[in-house]
Amino acid sequence: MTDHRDELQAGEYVLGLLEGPTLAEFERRLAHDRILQTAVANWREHFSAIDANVTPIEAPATLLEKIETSIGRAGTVERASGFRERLWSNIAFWRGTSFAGVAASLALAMVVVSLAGRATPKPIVVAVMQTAEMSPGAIVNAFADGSLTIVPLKDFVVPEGQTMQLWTLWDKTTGPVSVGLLARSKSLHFKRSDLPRGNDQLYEITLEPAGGSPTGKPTGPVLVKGFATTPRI
Amino acid sequence: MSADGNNYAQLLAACGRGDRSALRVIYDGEARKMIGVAMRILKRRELAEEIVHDAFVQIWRFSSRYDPGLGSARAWMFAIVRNRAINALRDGARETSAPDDEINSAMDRESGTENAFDRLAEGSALKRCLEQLDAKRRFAVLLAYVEGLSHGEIAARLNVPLGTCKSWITRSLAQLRECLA
Repeated sequence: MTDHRDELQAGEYVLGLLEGPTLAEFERRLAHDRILQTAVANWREHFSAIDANVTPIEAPATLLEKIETSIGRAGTVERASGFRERLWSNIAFWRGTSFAGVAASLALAMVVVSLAGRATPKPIVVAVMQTAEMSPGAIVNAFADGSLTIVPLKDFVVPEGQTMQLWTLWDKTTGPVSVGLLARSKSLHFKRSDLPRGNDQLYEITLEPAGGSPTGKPTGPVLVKGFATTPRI
Repeated sequence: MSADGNNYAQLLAACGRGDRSALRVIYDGEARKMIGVAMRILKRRELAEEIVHDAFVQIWRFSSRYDPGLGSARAWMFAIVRNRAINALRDGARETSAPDDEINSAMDRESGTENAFDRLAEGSALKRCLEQLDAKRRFAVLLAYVEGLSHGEIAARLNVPLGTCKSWITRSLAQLRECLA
Protein backbone atom coordinates (compact mmCIF):
# COMPACT_ATOMS: atom_id res chain seq x y z
CA MET A 1 0.00 0.00 0.00
CA THR A 2 1.41 3.35 -0.98
CA ASP A 3 1.90 5.99 1.63
CA HIS A 4 -0.93 8.54 1.44
CA ARG A 5 1.48 11.42 0.94
CA ASP A 6 3.31 9.56 -1.83
CA GLU A 7 0.07 9.00 -3.69
CA LEU A 8 -0.83 12.67 -3.54
CA GLN A 9 2.65 13.60 -4.68
CA ALA A 10 2.35 11.11 -7.53
CA GLY A 11 -0.87 12.90 -8.49
CA GLU A 12 0.87 16.28 -8.45
CA TYR A 13 3.68 14.80 -10.53
CA VAL A 14 1.23 13.59 -13.17
CA LEU A 15 -0.47 16.99 -13.20
CA GLY A 16 2.96 18.52 -13.84
CA LEU A 17 2.95 20.49 -10.59
CA LEU A 18 6.15 19.28 -8.96
CA GLU A 19 9.09 21.60 -9.52
CA GLY A 20 12.66 22.18 -8.47
CA PRO A 21 14.15 20.05 -5.70
CA THR A 22 10.80 18.39 -4.92
CA LEU A 23 10.57 17.18 -8.51
CA ALA A 24 14.19 16.05 -8.51
CA GLU A 25 13.75 14.09 -5.29
CA PHE A 26 10.51 12.54 -6.51
CA GLU A 27 12.10 11.45 -9.78
CA ARG A 28 15.09 10.04 -7.96
CA ARG A 29 12.77 7.82 -5.94
CA LEU A 30 10.59 7.03 -8.92
CA ALA A 31 13.51 5.50 -10.78
CA HIS A 32 13.73 2.65 -8.26
CA ASP A 33 10.41 2.49 -6.47
CA ARG A 34 7.91 0.18 -8.13
CA ILE A 35 5.12 1.21 -5.76
CA LEU A 36 5.63 4.85 -6.66
CA GLN A 37 5.74 3.91 -10.35
CA THR A 38 2.40 2.18 -9.92
CA ALA A 39 0.90 5.22 -8.19
CA VAL A 40 2.05 7.42 -11.09
CA ALA A 41 0.68 4.93 -13.63
CA ASN A 42 -2.72 4.89 -11.88
CA TRP A 43 -3.09 8.68 -11.90
CA ARG A 44 -1.85 8.80 -15.49
CA GLU A 45 -4.41 6.23 -16.55
CA HIS A 46 -7.29 8.10 -14.91
CA PHE A 47 -6.31 11.52 -16.19
CA SER A 48 -5.66 10.24 -19.71
CA ALA A 49 -9.44 10.18 -20.14
CA ILE A 50 -9.08 13.95 -20.61
CA ASP A 51 -6.62 13.50 -23.49
CA ALA A 52 -8.95 11.07 -25.20
CA ASN A 53 -11.48 13.86 -25.72
CA VAL A 54 -9.19 16.54 -27.05
CA THR A 55 -10.12 18.14 -30.36
CA PRO A 56 -7.74 16.57 -32.91
CA ILE A 57 -5.64 18.98 -34.94
CA GLU A 58 -4.68 17.98 -38.45
CA ALA A 59 -0.97 17.35 -38.82
CA PRO A 60 0.90 18.82 -41.77
CA ALA A 61 1.70 16.19 -44.40
CA THR A 62 5.41 16.69 -43.80
CA LEU A 63 5.32 15.75 -40.09
CA LEU A 64 5.32 11.99 -40.56
CA GLU A 65 8.08 12.36 -43.11
CA LYS A 66 10.20 14.36 -40.67
CA ILE A 67 9.62 11.80 -37.94
CA GLU A 68 10.67 8.97 -40.24
CA THR A 69 13.80 10.84 -41.24
CA SER A 70 14.64 11.45 -37.58
CA ILE A 71 14.06 7.85 -36.55
CA GLY A 72 16.19 6.76 -39.47
CA ARG A 73 19.04 8.51 -37.71
CA ALA A 74 17.89 7.60 -34.21
CA GLY A 75 17.38 4.00 -35.26
CA THR A 76 21.03 3.71 -36.16
CA VAL A 77 22.08 5.30 -32.91
CA GLU A 78 19.88 2.94 -30.94
CA ARG A 79 21.30 -0.17 -32.57
CA ALA A 80 24.84 1.04 -32.11
CA SER A 81 24.50 2.04 -28.50
CA GLY A 82 21.23 0.54 -27.35
CA PHE A 83 22.82 -0.84 -24.25
CA ARG A 84 24.17 2.52 -23.30
CA GLU A 85 20.72 4.04 -23.68
CA ARG A 86 19.12 1.42 -21.50
CA LEU A 87 21.61 2.03 -18.74
CA TRP A 88 20.19 5.44 -18.19
CA SER A 89 17.57 5.56 -15.55
CA ASN A 90 14.19 6.61 -16.84
CA ILE A 91 14.64 10.05 -15.36
CA ALA A 92 16.34 11.49 -18.39
CA PHE A 93 13.69 9.74 -20.39
CA TRP A 94 10.76 11.42 -18.71
CA ARG A 95 12.48 14.74 -18.60
CA GLY A 96 12.81 14.57 -22.35
CA THR A 97 16.47 15.32 -21.99
CA SER A 98 19.08 13.26 -23.70
CA PHE A 99 22.81 13.60 -23.59
CA ALA A 100 22.79 17.36 -23.91
CA GLY A 101 23.52 17.66 -20.21
CA VAL A 102 26.59 15.49 -20.57
CA ALA A 103 28.03 17.80 -23.20
CA ALA A 104 27.41 20.78 -20.96
CA SER A 105 29.05 19.25 -17.95
CA LEU A 106 31.93 17.93 -20.01
CA ALA A 107 32.88 21.56 -20.55
CA LEU A 108 33.17 21.84 -16.78
CA ALA A 109 35.29 18.70 -16.64
CA MET A 110 37.62 20.15 -19.22
CA VAL A 111 38.27 23.08 -16.92
CA VAL A 112 39.04 20.81 -14.00
CA VAL A 113 41.22 18.62 -16.17
CA SER A 114 43.20 21.45 -17.66
CA LEU A 115 43.78 23.07 -14.28
CA ALA A 116 45.02 19.81 -12.87
CA GLY A 117 46.74 18.84 -16.09
CA ARG A 118 49.88 20.88 -15.61
CA ALA A 119 51.29 18.98 -12.66
CA THR A 120 49.81 15.53 -13.27
CA PRO A 121 49.74 13.13 -16.21
CA LYS A 122 46.99 13.68 -18.71
CA PRO A 123 44.03 11.32 -18.49
CA ILE A 124 43.27 9.07 -21.42
CA VAL A 125 39.57 9.29 -20.76
CA VAL A 126 37.38 11.44 -18.56
CA ALA A 127 33.86 10.68 -17.40
CA VAL A 128 31.53 13.24 -15.92
CA MET A 129 29.11 11.35 -13.75
CA GLN A 130 25.75 12.97 -13.39
CA THR A 131 23.13 12.82 -10.71
CA ALA A 132 19.57 11.76 -11.43
CA GLU A 133 18.81 15.47 -11.81
CA MET A 134 21.40 15.62 -14.58
CA SER A 135 23.78 17.83 -12.66
CA PRO A 136 27.49 16.95 -12.57
CA GLY A 137 28.18 14.87 -9.46
CA ALA A 138 31.71 13.54 -9.86
CA ILE A 139 34.49 13.23 -12.40
CA VAL A 140 36.60 10.17 -13.16
CA ASN A 141 39.99 10.55 -14.84
CA ALA A 142 41.56 7.33 -16.12
CA PHE A 143 45.30 7.41 -16.83
CA ALA A 144 47.62 5.44 -19.08
CA ASP A 145 49.26 3.62 -16.14
CA GLY A 146 45.88 2.13 -15.23
CA SER A 147 45.22 4.38 -12.28
CA LEU A 148 42.04 6.37 -11.84
CA THR A 149 41.16 9.43 -9.84
CA ILE A 150 37.72 10.36 -8.76
CA VAL A 151 36.82 13.95 -7.94
CA PRO A 152 33.41 14.39 -6.28
CA LEU A 153 31.72 17.66 -7.19
CA LYS A 154 29.18 17.57 -4.40
CA ASP A 155 28.70 16.24 -0.90
CA PHE A 156 27.02 12.88 -1.06
CA VAL A 157 25.24 11.78 2.07
CA VAL A 158 26.47 8.34 3.05
CA PRO A 159 24.24 6.83 5.75
CA GLU A 160 25.77 5.00 8.73
CA GLY A 161 26.79 1.47 7.82
CA GLN A 162 27.02 2.22 4.11
CA THR A 163 29.67 3.23 1.61
CA MET A 164 29.90 4.56 -1.90
CA GLN A 165 31.29 2.17 -4.47
CA LEU A 166 32.69 3.11 -7.87
CA TRP A 167 31.95 0.74 -10.75
CA THR A 168 32.85 0.60 -14.36
CA LEU A 169 31.24 -1.28 -17.18
CA TRP A 170 32.60 -1.85 -20.66
CA ASP A 171 31.04 -5.11 -21.63
CA LYS A 172 27.50 -6.30 -21.13
CA THR A 173 28.44 -9.93 -20.55
CA THR A 174 31.09 -9.12 -17.96
CA GLY A 175 28.75 -6.68 -16.23
CA PRO A 176 29.83 -3.86 -13.89
CA VAL A 177 33.24 -4.32 -12.25
CA SER A 178 34.10 -2.70 -8.93
CA VAL A 179 36.84 -0.06 -9.04
CA GLY A 180 36.89 0.65 -5.33
CA LEU A 181 35.12 2.14 -2.33
CA LEU A 182 34.69 5.76 -1.29
CA ALA A 183 33.82 6.35 2.31
CA ARG A 184 33.22 10.06 1.84
CA SER A 185 32.89 12.76 -0.82
CA LYS A 186 36.61 13.26 -1.23
CA SER A 187 39.04 12.90 -4.13
CA LEU A 188 40.61 9.47 -4.32
CA HIS A 189 43.26 7.77 -6.40
CA PHE A 190 42.80 4.12 -7.33
CA LYS A 191 45.74 2.05 -8.56
CA ARG A 192 44.35 -0.47 -11.01
CA SER A 193 46.00 -1.90 -14.05
CA ASP A 194 43.38 -4.45 -15.03
CA LEU A 195 40.61 -2.20 -16.28
CA PRO A 196 40.06 -1.03 -19.83
CA ARG A 197 39.92 2.71 -20.37
CA GLY A 198 37.76 3.03 -23.42
CA ASN A 199 35.52 5.64 -24.85
CA ASP A 200 31.87 5.20 -23.91
CA GLN A 201 32.82 3.05 -20.96
CA LEU A 202 30.30 3.54 -18.15
CA TYR A 203 31.29 4.70 -14.68
CA GLU A 204 28.84 4.86 -11.83
CA ILE A 205 28.74 5.20 -8.07
CA THR A 206 26.22 3.27 -6.03
CA LEU A 207 25.41 3.22 -2.36
CA GLU A 208 26.33 -0.15 -0.87
CA PRO A 209 26.58 -1.78 2.55
CA ALA A 210 29.81 -0.94 4.42
CA GLY A 211 32.65 -3.02 3.00
CA GLY A 212 31.18 -2.94 -0.49
CA SER A 213 28.48 -4.83 -2.32
CA PRO A 214 28.10 -8.35 -0.90
CA THR A 215 27.36 -9.77 -4.34
CA GLY A 216 30.21 -8.19 -6.26
CA LYS A 217 27.69 -6.38 -8.45
CA PRO A 218 25.86 -3.12 -7.71
CA THR A 219 22.93 -3.67 -5.35
CA GLY A 220 22.12 -0.18 -4.11
CA PRO A 221 20.77 3.01 -5.67
CA VAL A 222 22.86 4.74 -8.31
CA LEU A 223 24.09 8.13 -7.10
CA VAL A 224 25.81 9.26 -10.29
CA LYS A 225 26.77 7.83 -13.62
CA GLY A 226 28.41 8.89 -16.83
CA PHE A 227 30.29 7.73 -19.90
CA ALA A 228 33.96 8.15 -20.63
CA THR A 229 35.16 10.43 -23.39
CA THR A 230 38.62 11.24 -24.68
CA PRO A 231 39.51 14.73 -23.49
CA ARG A 232 40.76 17.17 -26.12
CA ILE A 233 43.85 18.28 -24.29
CA MET B 1 -6.95 -1.86 -26.92
CA SER B 2 -7.87 1.68 -27.83
CA ALA B 3 -11.33 2.78 -28.93
CA ASP B 4 -10.40 2.48 -32.61
CA GLY B 5 -9.26 -1.08 -32.18
CA ASN B 6 -5.49 -0.55 -32.25
CA ASN B 7 -3.54 -2.61 -29.80
CA TYR B 8 -0.88 -0.08 -28.90
CA ALA B 9 1.02 -2.40 -26.60
CA GLN B 10 1.56 -4.79 -29.51
CA LEU B 11 2.40 -1.93 -31.84
CA LEU B 12 5.02 -0.64 -29.41
CA ALA B 13 6.49 -4.12 -29.18
CA ALA B 14 6.69 -4.14 -32.98
CA CYS B 15 8.44 -0.74 -32.91
CA GLY B 16 10.92 -2.28 -30.51
CA ARG B 17 11.71 -4.85 -33.19
CA GLY B 18 12.32 -2.07 -35.70
CA ASP B 19 9.00 -2.32 -37.52
CA ARG B 20 8.37 1.15 -38.91
CA SER B 21 4.91 0.37 -40.19
CA ALA B 22 3.84 -0.08 -36.55
CA LEU B 23 4.91 3.48 -35.79
CA ARG B 24 2.90 4.70 -38.77
CA VAL B 25 -0.21 2.98 -37.42
CA ILE B 26 0.30 4.71 -34.08
CA TYR B 27 0.88 8.00 -35.90
CA ASP B 28 -2.28 7.65 -37.97
CA GLY B 29 -4.28 6.80 -34.87
CA GLU B 30 -3.00 9.37 -32.40
CA ALA B 31 -0.83 12.12 -33.90
CA ARG B 32 -3.72 14.56 -34.37
CA LYS B 33 -4.87 14.14 -30.81
CA MET B 34 -1.31 14.47 -29.61
CA ILE B 35 -0.99 17.79 -31.41
CA GLY B 36 -4.25 18.80 -29.75
CA VAL B 37 -2.88 17.90 -26.31
CA ALA B 38 0.38 19.80 -26.94
CA MET B 39 -1.55 22.78 -28.32
CA ARG B 40 -3.62 23.11 -25.15
CA ILE B 41 -0.37 23.49 -23.24
CA LEU B 42 1.78 25.47 -25.65
CA LYS B 43 -0.88 27.44 -27.60
CA ARG B 44 1.39 27.50 -30.64
CA ARG B 45 0.83 25.14 -33.48
CA GLU B 46 4.43 25.10 -34.63
CA LEU B 47 5.67 24.27 -31.15
CA ALA B 48 2.99 21.62 -30.71
CA GLU B 49 4.05 19.92 -33.94
CA GLU B 50 7.67 20.03 -32.87
CA ILE B 51 6.77 18.42 -29.54
CA VAL B 52 4.86 15.64 -31.30
CA HIS B 53 7.79 15.08 -33.66
CA ASP B 54 10.16 14.73 -30.70
CA ALA B 55 7.67 12.56 -28.83
CA PHE B 56 7.41 10.12 -31.75
CA VAL B 57 11.18 9.88 -32.00
CA GLN B 58 11.25 9.15 -28.26
CA ILE B 59 8.43 6.60 -28.55
CA TRP B 60 10.31 4.84 -31.35
CA ARG B 61 13.67 4.78 -29.66
CA PHE B 62 12.40 3.74 -26.26
CA SER B 63 9.43 1.60 -27.29
CA SER B 64 11.00 -1.40 -25.58
CA ARG B 65 10.90 0.46 -22.28
CA TYR B 66 7.12 0.50 -22.22
CA ASP B 67 6.08 -1.69 -19.30
CA PRO B 68 2.57 -3.15 -19.72
CA GLY B 69 2.51 -3.64 -15.95
CA LEU B 70 2.40 0.12 -15.57
CA GLY B 71 -0.72 1.13 -17.42
CA SER B 72 -1.89 1.31 -21.01
CA ALA B 73 0.42 2.03 -23.91
CA ARG B 74 -1.77 4.94 -24.89
CA ALA B 75 -1.43 6.65 -21.51
CA TRP B 76 2.34 6.05 -21.69
CA MET B 77 2.59 7.72 -25.09
CA PHE B 78 0.43 10.68 -24.13
CA ALA B 79 2.46 11.12 -20.94
CA ILE B 80 5.53 11.51 -23.16
CA VAL B 81 3.78 14.23 -25.14
CA ARG B 82 2.55 16.05 -22.02
CA ASN B 83 5.95 15.83 -20.33
CA ARG B 84 7.73 17.28 -23.32
CA ALA B 85 5.13 20.01 -23.75
CA ILE B 86 5.23 20.99 -20.07
CA ASN B 87 9.04 21.03 -20.08
CA ALA B 88 8.99 23.30 -23.11
CA LEU B 89 6.44 25.51 -21.39
CA ARG B 90 8.54 25.78 -18.23
CA ASP B 91 11.59 26.54 -20.36
CA GLY B 92 9.74 29.54 -21.69
CA ALA B 93 9.12 28.25 -25.19
CA ARG B 94 5.76 29.95 -25.34
CA GLU B 95 7.18 33.42 -24.90
CA THR B 96 9.58 33.13 -27.79
CA SER B 97 7.12 32.68 -30.62
CA ALA B 98 4.03 34.49 -31.78
CA PRO B 99 0.60 33.26 -30.65
CA ASP B 100 -1.76 31.52 -33.01
CA ASP B 101 -4.77 33.62 -32.17
CA GLU B 102 -7.12 32.06 -34.62
CA ILE B 103 -6.41 28.55 -33.51
CA ASN B 104 -6.44 29.60 -29.88
CA SER B 105 -9.90 31.01 -29.95
CA ALA B 106 -11.17 27.92 -31.72
CA MET B 107 -9.35 25.77 -29.19
CA ASP B 108 -10.73 27.71 -26.28
CA ARG B 109 -14.25 27.23 -27.51
CA GLU B 110 -13.93 23.59 -28.27
CA SER B 111 -11.39 21.95 -26.11
CA GLY B 112 -10.12 24.43 -23.55
CA THR B 113 -10.09 23.71 -19.87
CA GLU B 114 -13.64 25.04 -19.56
CA ASN B 115 -14.96 22.20 -21.64
CA ALA B 116 -12.54 19.45 -20.70
CA PHE B 117 -14.81 18.32 -17.88
CA ASP B 118 -18.02 18.40 -19.92
CA ARG B 119 -16.41 16.44 -22.69
CA LEU B 120 -15.41 13.55 -20.46
CA ALA B 121 -17.35 10.41 -21.27
CA GLU B 122 -20.45 10.02 -19.12
CA GLY B 123 -19.99 7.26 -16.63
CA SER B 124 -16.18 7.48 -16.65
CA ALA B 125 -14.67 7.17 -13.21
CA LEU B 126 -12.78 10.44 -13.59
CA LYS B 127 -15.91 12.36 -14.51
CA ARG B 128 -17.89 10.88 -11.65
CA CYS B 129 -15.14 11.77 -9.18
CA LEU B 130 -14.36 15.23 -10.56
CA GLU B 131 -18.07 15.95 -10.29
CA GLN B 132 -17.86 15.61 -6.54
CA LEU B 133 -15.30 18.41 -6.28
CA ASP B 134 -16.22 22.02 -5.72
CA ALA B 135 -16.32 23.72 -9.16
CA LYS B 136 -13.42 26.09 -8.49
CA ARG B 137 -11.18 23.36 -7.13
CA ARG B 138 -12.04 21.09 -10.02
CA PHE B 139 -11.10 23.88 -12.38
CA ALA B 140 -7.73 24.30 -10.62
CA VAL B 141 -6.93 20.62 -11.15
CA LEU B 142 -8.00 20.78 -14.79
CA LEU B 143 -5.90 23.91 -15.45
CA ALA B 144 -2.87 21.94 -14.33
CA TYR B 145 -3.62 18.89 -16.44
CA VAL B 146 -5.11 20.48 -19.54
CA GLU B 147 -3.01 23.63 -19.89
CA GLY B 148 0.02 22.53 -17.91
CA LEU B 149 -0.13 25.55 -15.61
CA SER B 150 2.06 25.72 -12.50
CA HIS B 151 0.71 26.36 -8.99
CA GLY B 152 1.60 30.06 -9.34
CA GLU B 153 -0.09 30.40 -12.72
CA ILE B 154 -3.23 28.67 -11.49
CA ALA B 155 -3.35 30.93 -8.42
CA ALA B 156 -3.05 34.00 -10.66
CA ARG B 157 -5.70 32.73 -13.07
CA LEU B 158 -8.15 32.01 -10.27
CA ASN B 159 -7.14 35.10 -8.34
CA VAL B 160 -6.45 33.25 -5.10
CA PRO B 161 -3.33 33.20 -2.90
CA LEU B 162 -0.70 30.60 -3.83
CA GLY B 163 -1.16 28.73 -0.54
CA THR B 164 -4.89 28.43 -1.16
CA CYS B 165 -4.30 27.11 -4.66
CA LYS B 166 -1.82 24.52 -3.41
CA SER B 167 -4.12 23.28 -0.68
CA TRP B 168 -7.09 23.16 -3.07
CA ILE B 169 -5.17 20.89 -5.37
CA THR B 170 -3.78 18.66 -2.63
CA ARG B 171 -7.23 18.25 -1.11
CA SER B 172 -8.79 17.66 -4.51
CA LEU B 173 -6.25 14.93 -5.20
CA ALA B 174 -6.99 13.35 -1.81
CA GLN B 175 -10.71 13.36 -2.63
CA LEU B 176 -10.09 12.00 -6.12
CA ARG B 177 -7.86 9.27 -4.77
CA GLU B 178 -10.55 8.16 -2.37
CA CYS B 179 -13.22 8.25 -5.06
CA LEU B 180 -11.15 6.56 -7.77
CA ALA B 181 -9.91 3.76 -5.50
